[in-house]
This record gives sequence, C-alpha cells and structure tokens, in this order.
Amino acid sequence: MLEIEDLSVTVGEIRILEKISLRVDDGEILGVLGPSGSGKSTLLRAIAGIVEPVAGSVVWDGVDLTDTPTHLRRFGLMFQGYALFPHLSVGGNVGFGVPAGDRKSVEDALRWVGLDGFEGRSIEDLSGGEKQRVALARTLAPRPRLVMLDEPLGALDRNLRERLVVDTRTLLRERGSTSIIVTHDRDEAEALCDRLALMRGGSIIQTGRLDELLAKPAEPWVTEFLG
Amino acid sequence: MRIFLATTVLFGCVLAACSSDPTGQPDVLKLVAHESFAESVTDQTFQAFTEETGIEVEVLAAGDAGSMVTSAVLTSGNPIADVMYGVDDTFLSRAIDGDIFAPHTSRLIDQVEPGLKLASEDLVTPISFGDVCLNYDKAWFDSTQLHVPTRLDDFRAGVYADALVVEHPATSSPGLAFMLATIEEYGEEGWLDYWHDLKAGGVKVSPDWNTAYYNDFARYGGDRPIVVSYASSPPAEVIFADEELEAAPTGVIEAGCYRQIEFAGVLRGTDYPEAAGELVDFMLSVDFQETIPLTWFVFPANVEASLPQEFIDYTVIPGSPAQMEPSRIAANRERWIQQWVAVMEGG
Amino acid sequence: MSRIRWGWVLVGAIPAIFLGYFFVYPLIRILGLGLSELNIGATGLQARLVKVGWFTLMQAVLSTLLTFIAAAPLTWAVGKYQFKGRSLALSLVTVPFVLPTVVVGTAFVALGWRDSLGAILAAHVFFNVAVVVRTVSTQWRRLNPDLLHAAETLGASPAQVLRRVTLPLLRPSLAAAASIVFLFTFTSFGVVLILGGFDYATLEVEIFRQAIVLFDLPLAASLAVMQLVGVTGALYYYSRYQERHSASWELNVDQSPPTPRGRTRIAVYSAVILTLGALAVPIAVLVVRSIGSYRNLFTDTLLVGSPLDAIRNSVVFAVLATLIALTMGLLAATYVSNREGGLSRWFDTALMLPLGTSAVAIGFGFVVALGWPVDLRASIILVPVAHALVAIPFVVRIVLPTMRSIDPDLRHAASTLGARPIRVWQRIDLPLIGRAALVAAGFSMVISLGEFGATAFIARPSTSTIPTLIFRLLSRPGSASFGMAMALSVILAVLTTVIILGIDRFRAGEVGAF
Repeated sequence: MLEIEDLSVTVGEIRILEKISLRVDDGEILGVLGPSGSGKSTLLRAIAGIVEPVAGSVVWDGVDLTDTPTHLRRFGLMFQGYALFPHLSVGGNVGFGVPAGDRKSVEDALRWVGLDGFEGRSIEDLSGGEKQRVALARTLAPRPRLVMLDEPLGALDRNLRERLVVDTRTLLRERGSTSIIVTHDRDEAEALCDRLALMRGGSIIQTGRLDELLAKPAEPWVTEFLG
Repeated sequence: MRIFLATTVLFGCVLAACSSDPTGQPDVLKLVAHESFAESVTDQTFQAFTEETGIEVEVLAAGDAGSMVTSAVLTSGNPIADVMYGVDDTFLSRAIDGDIFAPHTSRLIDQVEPGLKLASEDLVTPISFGDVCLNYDKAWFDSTQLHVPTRLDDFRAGVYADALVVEHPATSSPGLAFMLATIEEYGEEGWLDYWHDLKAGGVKVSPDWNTAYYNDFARYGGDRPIVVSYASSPPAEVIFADEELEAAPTGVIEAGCYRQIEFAGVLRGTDYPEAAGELVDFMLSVDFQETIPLTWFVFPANVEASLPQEFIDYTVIPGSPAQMEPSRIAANRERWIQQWVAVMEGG
Repeated sequence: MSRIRWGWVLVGAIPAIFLGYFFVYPLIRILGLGLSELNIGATGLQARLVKVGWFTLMQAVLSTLLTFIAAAPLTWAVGKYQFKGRSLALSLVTVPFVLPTVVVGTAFVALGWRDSLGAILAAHVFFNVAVVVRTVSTQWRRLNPDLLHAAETLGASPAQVLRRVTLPLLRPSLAAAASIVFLFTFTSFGVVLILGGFDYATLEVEIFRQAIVLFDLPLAASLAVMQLVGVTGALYYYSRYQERHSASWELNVDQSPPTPRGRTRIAVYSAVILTLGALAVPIAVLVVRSIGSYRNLFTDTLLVGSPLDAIRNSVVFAVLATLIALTMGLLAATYVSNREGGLSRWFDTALMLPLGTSAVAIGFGFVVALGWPVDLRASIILVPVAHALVAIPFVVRIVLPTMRSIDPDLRHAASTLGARPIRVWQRIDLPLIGRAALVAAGFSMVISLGEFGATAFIARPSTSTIPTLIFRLLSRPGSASFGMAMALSVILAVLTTVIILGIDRFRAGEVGAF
C-alpha cells in the first residue's frame, strides 16, 4: 500500500506540487487525471524519487521511502516518451531491470505484451505501438511492487489505443499490480482505473470513482472537466 | 566555388603584391630570415635603405636556420623572397649545393673581418658572427672556491664534467657548434674519447639552449654552473637584467669556443638581382652593422663598425675560436652526430 | 531520382577544395619529392623505423588512457551536474591546452620532471584533459535524462547507470575525444623533445631531426608517410565506429541538469578542486616565476614589437582562423552527417588528417606547392589557414555527434513545411548545434592563440604573435627576458580563460533558449 502525505515539489521559485496526499491500496489501479501542466508527471517522478520533494513523505507498507534512492524503491515507471535505450535491442531494454541471464522474465514480459520473439530487434525499427509495448514490458519485467504509467497511450492512434487499453488493463489486473496511471483522457481513465484523482494546478481537487465524482463534484470545474 | 576562387585570387594579389612591375625597380624587396632575426625587425631596421632607394623591405620569418635553408633548397630557382639572411657556416654547404644563391660580390667586402671570409664569397656575404662559448656562473665559483676551468682538457676531470651542461648536437645549433669545437681540438682520432670522458664524468645533455640555460644552468636555479651558450650572453645578462647590475653575473671561458658566421645572399630566380644586391650591401654598411649587437646579440662582420659599451665591458671576443670548412661539416655532420649519439646514449 | 543535388555538391565541395588546396596538394608534392629519392634498403633503416614507430604508438596509447582516467572525475561532475562555478571550471580546465609547449616544458622541468617516459605522459595528460572534459561533457549535457531515470526505476544503481546507459550513449564523443588525444600525442613534438631525453623519439621528432638537422628528406618523407598511415588507419576505424554507434535520440532541451546535494555535492566539488588543483601546479610555477615581470613587458625598450601588438595580432589571427574553421567545419560536418556511404566516410577521415600530419611536412609542402595559381607561399594568410587546418578537425569532431543525434524527422518536418534545404539547415540544424558550434568556436580560438609548432615551419611575414614573442624572449639570456616570457605565458593563459568564459556566457544568453 502506497501512502503519500503532504508531498510538495518546487522548481526554482515555482511550486509544481502543493501538499499532495494520496493512498493506493494493494492491487488497486489509481488514475491521475488532469489538464496538461497540472503536475501529473511530476507527481509520478516524485513518487519514483527522480524529483526531490521539499516537504512531505512517500511511504510503502509503513516504510518511509522519502530518502531512499530511486533504484532501491522497486517502483516501476513507464515514461511518457518511453525513454527506450537507443543503444540496446528490445531484449536489452526489457532485460535491463532483471538479473543478467534471467531470460525467462524477458520472454514472459514480451509475451504479456504480445511481442514474442522481438528480443533481437533494434529499437529504431519499431512502430509506435511496438515501442509502447516494449516500454510497458520493460516496466513490468522486474515485477515492481508499484507500476506507474505516464500517459501510456498518449501518442498512439485511436484504433491502437482502444486495443491497447484492453490489453493493458487485462495485464495489470491479471498480475494484480498496484498501479498509478497518469492520463488526460477521461475515457482512458475510466476504462483502466478503479479510482480517479483529479489534479489541477499542482493540487488534488478530488478523488473517487468516476460516478462518485460526477454525482458529487467538489467544484463546478470537476463536472466541466469530466464533461 | 567561384566566389571562393575569386576570394583566394584577390587575397593572393593583395598579399603577394601583384601590382609591382617585374622589369624595373621593385616597390618592395623580400628578405627571408630565420625566426630570431625576423622577429626583432622593426620599422626602423631598414628605414635608411628605404630612404636611400625608395624600396621597402618586407621581412619573412621562416623557422630556424635549418628549416629556412631546407625550404629554400626545395624552392631553388623560384624563391619566395629576393634575399636570404641567416644561413650559417654549418648550413652553408647545403645551401650552396642546393644552388639557391645568385652571384653577388659586395662592394664593401674589403671591410669584412678577414677571418670570416670563406671560399664562396662570390655567392654569400658575411654579415655577422657569434661565438658559441662556455659560460660560467660567477656566484657558484665564488662560493665553491673552485678555479674556473681554462682548457677543454680540464673537463676530463669529474668535478668539471659534472658541472657542465651541453645541448644535443642533433637538435640544437650551439650544441652542434660545441661538438665541432671538440672535433677541431682533438681531431678525428681523439674527440670521441673526449666525449667518453665527459660522459663518465657526468656531463648533462639538454635538447635545446632554452632548457639548458633556463633550467640546468646554476644562474637560473639548475645544478650546472657551466653551460654551452654564447660570448654575447654575459652582456645580455646585464642588458636584460631585472635589476641593474654592476658586473656581468656570468663569464666566458675562452677555450672551446666555436665561431658561427651568418651570411646573406641574393636568391637565384629573383626578379630584382640588382636591388637585392644593394640590400645585401646595405646590411654590411657601418650604419646597419652598428645596430646588430643590441638587436640580435651577435657581432658585426664589418671591422669598421664600433661595438656598444656592454659588449666591450662584459665579454671577450675569443682570440682563436674553432672554425671549420662548411664543406667538411656537410660531408661529415651526419656521421659525427651518429658517433656522438653512440657514445653518449649507448650503454 | 537521378537528379544531381547541386546543393549538396556545393556543401561538400567548399571544404573539400579548401582542404585539397591547402593540405592534400602540398602534402602530396612534398612527400613525392622526398620519396622519389628513398632508398629503403639502406642499412639499419628498417630497424630504426620500427623502433621509432613502436615507441610513438605505445606512448600515444598510454597517454590517451591516462588522460581519460585523469579527466573522468571532472567530466562526470560538469557533464552530469549543474553547480555554481561549473562554467568557470570548464574554462579553467582549457587553459593548459593553449600554453606553449616550450613554456609548459620549462614548468615541468622546474618541477624536476624530465628525461623519462613519466614526464612525457604527465605533460600529455596536462595538455589534453580539456579535450576529454569539454568534448564528452558537451554530449553528456544533451543526453535525455529520462533514459537515466528509466534505468534507475529499473533498479540500476548510479554506478550501473553510468556503465550500462550513460557511457554507451556517450560513445560518439568518447571516440571523438580519444581520437583527438591519440592524434595529439601520436604526433607530439615539443613535449617529447624537451621532456623525453634522448632515448625517446616520436616519429614527429625523428622527422624534424632527419629533415632539418641531417637533411635526409627521403627518410623524413618516409617517416611522415608512416605517421600518416598510422593516423589514417586509426581515424578510419573511429569514423566507422562513430557512425555505427550514433543513434538518434531525443535531445535534452527542456530539463536542466540536477544540482548535486549531500555527498554527491562533496564528490562534485572534490572532483573539480582536485583536477584543477593538479593542473594548476605547473601553472603556479609559471605564475610565481612571472611575478614582477609584467611592468618590464610594457617598459622594456629593447623588446622589439610591443606585447600589446602581439596580443592584437594573436586575436586577429584567432578570429580569422575561427571563422575559416567554423565555416569549413560546419559545411563538412553537415555533408558528412547527411550523406551516407564510403565517400562521406573518407571525407570524414580526411578532415581529421591535418591533426595527424607532420608540421614539418605541411610547412615545406606550403613552400613547394602554393606558388599556384597565385603565389601564397609567403603570404600572411597562411597563418590563419594553418591554424584553421588544426582547428577544423575539432570543429567537426565536436559538432558531428550532435548533428548525427538530431532526429531526421525534424528536418523532414521542416521540408514538408516548405523550407528549402538551406533554410532547413538555418532553422533546424544551426539552432540545435548552436551550443556545440560555440564550443567548437571557443576551441578553434584557443588553438589559434596557442599555436606555435605548425606556424614555426611556415614562411610568413614577421608579425609577432604571443607565442612567437614568448619564443623570442626565451631565446635570449637575462633574468628579465625569462620573467617576461613567463609573464606573457600567464597573459596567454588569462586571455584563453576570458575567451572561453565569454563564449560560455554568450552561449547561455543567445542559444540557451532554443
């Protein structure tokens, strides 16, 4: 279980995150939904330990990880631009986070995303959808205790997205992954997530299931945004 | 590309003086010289010549004497300048063999110190000379109470060999000169034994004059109170001292000096042989000759030129410095250097 | 489509003609002259060639390795982090690079380092640390930080991130820096002459001895060819390697590097202080020796040609050389990065050759070859041209990795928006490589300011520059002369720092926001 308490992040003089508090239960998929520039990506980076908060804490199962370096947190993060290593093959990318020689984890992860046998392919030769799936496989392969996806389907075309939404959801569900998914797309959030957190201007405006949010909006903006 | 070529041609013309008329009197004469001469030339250096003849003198710097002669040989007959200054007796044979000079006999040749005239005086004119001599640090000898050595043989004893730093004859002109002096002194049979003794006694070898003088010589903090340098070094020490000196801090040992003569000549292939000859003669004139010591720290070749006071007070012109026929140097230089290297660097 | 792309022909042709006329043609002429008389069967010749060749290669490899080891901490600090004093550190590390060999040699001798392989290696490291630090850190700053973050989230420790992601991604610039350092040390002249004693001679030293002292032009030419062959081989390998390993990835344009904290901060500052401190030791010797001589520099009536004139001449030459080197280098790099295949690769290699070619050969090549179509043999234009020949390889090496890493789609996108190729270059390539181009300009400028070795072999009008004035002061006896030479060296060092700092400032203001 992930617990975030009063997390604040500033860059220079500008406050990007303002006292964010959140909880994600084991096996739950939380969607973080908000307009661009609302601090969604920064929130994931702060949870991963890439961005250092000026205040607040990140706690996993009662253990405070706020000062733990990124590589020891075992939180997986799929980056918005995928951040695939250009100097490594598909297999090299997916196998990056698993012990050397653990071919099985690599094969499993590629099978999950439907890319069996892609190990030797070069990153440059992949289509956009394939890149997305490689990035997802790379994130899942080390079996992180928390999976974070930053606009996982953002750059893909509509048809592909609809198919991948289902795939991704099945994948996360089957594995019972505790997950946070950042998106700006309401339909995507609805399809993928158990619960939503609405962000605007670096703060969380409201959390709850979509129907709850629509039924009892905290402010008029919520209804407007969820349209 | 057209623009590029046009620019090149334009630049070339501006810089190569396209405008001068190839048949008559030139506007500009080019004098190629080694770096240390060329770098000390000012607007005044050839002003008198320009006033007299209306011809400007452009000085070109071309590396050290060795590279200057080598490139002149490579362009023999199609020279980059009209006059060359600074070929010395150790390179003269190479220059003559390379056929780089046009005949010219100076009208002032009778004023030249007789000892400086060499066989090829119809091609080159002696302008200056400098003696490569052992210099010693006076302060070191005062503090140790040792006598300053007076003969080359003194260095066979360990105490003096160990006090000496010389330059490598393959990379340094004074180094080569000192080696030639020992060959003149001891002959083909004996000179290598002499160097063998120097090596056994602990003589130090530096690659060039800068390093030997400024790093190994005791005057500049090194551990060698005797260095192969020039007869003009002690007056230079006074003239270029940080604080005014009453006496020279270094002295010259008369034994083991070697006289280097520097010549000027008209380059074969010049469009203006007559004007070029006039420039050579100008360099031998008393007016120009008297500027030589304080500008380039060598001695004037013209006996009628008088010396500045520092050159009278602080140094000696050695009475009988070693000298060698340029043809003999040319014929043997490589072999001698190899023999020297074999003795000094071999096991 | 079989239509010839005249634009591309022009882009390639301008630097090719420049290089052909000022480098290849003179070189062929002089080597042809020398080799025509070569007698390869001469006694002992082959053994001598092997011995000199082997030592040259061995010391160059060792020097390159040691330079990388010495440069590693500072490269890491300035490449990965943003901290106070970073650009000052980058500027200061460049100072040794520009100091005249003879002056540094003097400083090392004064420290008691001489007559040993160790002294040669130490001096080579001293001179070349800046090449590694500047070349590699420039590319490091452009790495997409998300790649590094991704590795961290996958459980890689900082050391693993470095080994498995950062270093592989930095390969183009590592190869570039290695090739330049290798070339510099492979062709080292002054350092070896002064600090090596006589058991050690590189090919370049041996070429000098044979050509100038012993007048054995055939042997000198054969040594020069040997040097060229070694250099060409190494370079060809490098350019292939670089091409194979450079991949397009997103440029880092919006994220600024992290500020170090805690223990990292201590490590960063230690790296900076220890590296600069070590480099400062020989320079400190110069400074100490120069104290009290600055006044003389401007009052000494026997000093022909004022230091101010020399500084002005040096700056004018440096600006001209930089303009030539940038123009030729950028055109050439644009051609090489956009065209594929053998021709482009050979061109890439040829661009590096001036660095690996004997200065003696180039100097003599100029006087035998440049009499046509106009007589440039003794023209002052040869000074900036010679400096540019040395600087062009730097421009290409520094700019090329960045150019190659630009996503071609950016150019394609511009084309589809109606931009002509020249406009694409102006609007896409130029802004994106602006930072690298400015670094290259800075390098060109300091190369020109400090250049003495190659210039010394060119016949040219006797216009003093800072290095030639230093050389002249060092060739006359007297404590004042020596002090002034040291003072002028310190001025050269300060001038270098100012120029590099200026470039860094300008860069931040003009190009930082692209």
